[in-house]
Amino acid sequence: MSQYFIGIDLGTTHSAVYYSPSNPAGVETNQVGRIQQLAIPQFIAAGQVDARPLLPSFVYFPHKTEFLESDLLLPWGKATSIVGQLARELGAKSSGRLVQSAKSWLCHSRVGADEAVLPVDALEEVEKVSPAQVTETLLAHLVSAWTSQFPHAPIAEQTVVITVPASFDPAARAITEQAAEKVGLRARLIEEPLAAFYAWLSDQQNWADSLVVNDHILVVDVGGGTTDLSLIQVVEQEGALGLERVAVGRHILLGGDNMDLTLTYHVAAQLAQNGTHLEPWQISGLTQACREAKERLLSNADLEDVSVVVPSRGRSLFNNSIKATLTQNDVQQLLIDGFFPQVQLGEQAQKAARSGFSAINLDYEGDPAITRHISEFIAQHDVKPSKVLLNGGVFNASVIRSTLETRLAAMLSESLSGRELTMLTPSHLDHAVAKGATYYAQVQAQGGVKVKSGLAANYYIGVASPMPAIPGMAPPVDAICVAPFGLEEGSEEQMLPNEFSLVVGESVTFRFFQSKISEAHAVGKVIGAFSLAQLEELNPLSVRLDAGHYSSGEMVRVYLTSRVTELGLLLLQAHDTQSDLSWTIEFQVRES
Amino acid sequence: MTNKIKPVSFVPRFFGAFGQFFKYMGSGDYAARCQTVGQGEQFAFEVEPKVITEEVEVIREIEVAAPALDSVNTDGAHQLLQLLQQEARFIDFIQESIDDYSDADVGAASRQIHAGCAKVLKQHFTIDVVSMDVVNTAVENSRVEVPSGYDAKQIKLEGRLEGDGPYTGTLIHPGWKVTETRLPKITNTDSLNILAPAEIEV
Repeated sequence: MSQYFIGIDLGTTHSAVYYSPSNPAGVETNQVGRIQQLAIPQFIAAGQVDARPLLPSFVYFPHKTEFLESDLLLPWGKATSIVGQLARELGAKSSGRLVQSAKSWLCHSRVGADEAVLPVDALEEVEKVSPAQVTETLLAHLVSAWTSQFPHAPIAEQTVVITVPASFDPAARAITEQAAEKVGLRARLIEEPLAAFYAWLSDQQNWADSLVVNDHILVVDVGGGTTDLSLIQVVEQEGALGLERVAVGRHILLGGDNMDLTLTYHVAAQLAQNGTHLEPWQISGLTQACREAKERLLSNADLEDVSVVVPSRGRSLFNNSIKATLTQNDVQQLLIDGFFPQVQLGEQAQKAARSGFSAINLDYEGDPAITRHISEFIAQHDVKPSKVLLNGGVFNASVIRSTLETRLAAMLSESLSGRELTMLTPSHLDHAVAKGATYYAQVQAQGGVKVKSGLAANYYIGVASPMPAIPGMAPPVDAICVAPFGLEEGSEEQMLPNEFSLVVGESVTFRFFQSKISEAHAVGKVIGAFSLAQLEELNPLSVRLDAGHYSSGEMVRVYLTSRVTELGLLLLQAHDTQSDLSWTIEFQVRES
Repeated sequence: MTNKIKPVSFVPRFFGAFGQFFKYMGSGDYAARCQTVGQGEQFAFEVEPKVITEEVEVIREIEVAAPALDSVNTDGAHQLLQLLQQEARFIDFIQESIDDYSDADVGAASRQIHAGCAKVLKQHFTIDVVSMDVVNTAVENSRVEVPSGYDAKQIKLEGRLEGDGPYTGTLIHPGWKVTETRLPKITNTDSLNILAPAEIEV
């Protein structure tokens, strides 16, 4: 039995680890169940290691002369790349060596997670790495931090939960899981908004008092770089209240960092009008200064304006320093109206027109209005939430919290029909996710109320439909549902009614789709080639059939099954109809 | 005692007496010695040695070193300066003359420096007031009583200080103390005196 429950929040910009002792023996009784934060040793300067509560999710590949060998010693040994605070600081000064936001690349629609593409602007001598490798590096750092503090409780033997965005597709989840496995973790995954909700649950004396049957709870989790939405429904379960996660939003690359950047560019434009043009290094200084100014202005509505100063890089703090003013009005207009405008229910987020060619990078959101993304999400799933749980550092500003509350109440006024929109009191806004993950690990092992959550969408594979050959036209592809929405771990294996013929000894690729709606389809349901637009295409699947007792090149008849593993991953398999042979269908394999 | 006087038996005494008669007659000196013995004087070796105890005061001069003042570890001081420069550009600020700049400029800069220094203090030290422990309050200008045997390190009495106490007075400053220090670990102490490296953009 594990001695600790560990929750790892593998964030886009920051990672955190929480834990709670599970074993009453050897631990003081009042320690049991208390959730604590792990301090993570990391470089803060060359040769200086400090334990901090958060690990910035940044990896820096230093030049060979940049550091002495003795400068790169961590408590658990020599580091080849720099992870954390120092990486972030170095990256702001040097280009082409820093990897950031690797997590968002895991579910990039056109780049495989095991393609070496990072850093995007890598210098020639810097060897590029894949998003999956970066995830592994970050996890390895957290694991080492644990091991150095708890040498007698190997992390491989503990109950570990890692959080992932609700919008992660099965491939991104599988990659996170594989990265964890490589560093010796057998971790269960949990969706971040759900983890925030678990953190709320862990704070309640009696959660059932605050909820009634058929309540829909909207969880809005705004992180540094992403916004994640989920809907949780209160259901009746054998006479008692149960909870079910009924919908998740898509991957929205929009978060608190966008707000800071908005202010930065606003101030930069002001300066440009006065003839001051900023250099790249000043932008990062300005962003920092704007963030501080924003916090002061948002926390005190009486404050008219705050000066923003970017000191020069040289010795003098005054010579060549850049000064500007950020007014209360600017902040209100840019942030409140820009990110939280009043929208009608059902309004769609605007898609920005893209230029024909764009460099490979993350698909940042075209529409900054978080409220519009929420309205799109709610309308798509056709539910009327009556309770809202907010999470993320952005909501530390009470103005933003109350604005979003007003906007949501107005948006939902019709369905609420006079009732109040209830804002659930969130747990610690910055740490709820990791805390909730730890609580979830505890619930898994020791029991407690669980939120039923299965697959977040229906999944389909593309199969070429038989048709007479038409010159210049590829045979149309139909999509067949292989795994239904809500499929849970431990539930029965789903079997596709159709059989397929596959060639042994060759790699076969399937197109892979997910539905945008959260209504369960029956396994085997066919979506015709002409309505494929209602699905979202994911990275393709592939399966390579080892010949086994067949001779290479032979055709084998197989049937497909799907189930959810005990770690919460979707597993697709092809089984031979004639023998016991079966093959696992892999997510994401690159032909290169 | 090696030579002891043993009684002489009769025959050697009888014949010895003749010899002694002539020896006595022949030497005045010998006769005088015999007389002394005859009067009961004892030989030096027959006398019990007398123990003379006498206290002698010994004055030895010992060289006492002047109280050597311990110097604290400079590494810690360097490290703190490094941190303050890194987070708050503290050295830059202090090393530059602020005479030529307006209060507004200095004020704006000091906000950032304040924020940076505060971050360093908060991250690396836990700082608490002293008076809470020793006089149970941290309210400035409140009346407090200080017991006779107070700890002079923790309390500084000032003003009209006389007598044995307890002393009553007004709390002027509650004092500060570090209750926990969490300085970053370092891999080697060789070049801690480099507070900030020269930065060169290539």
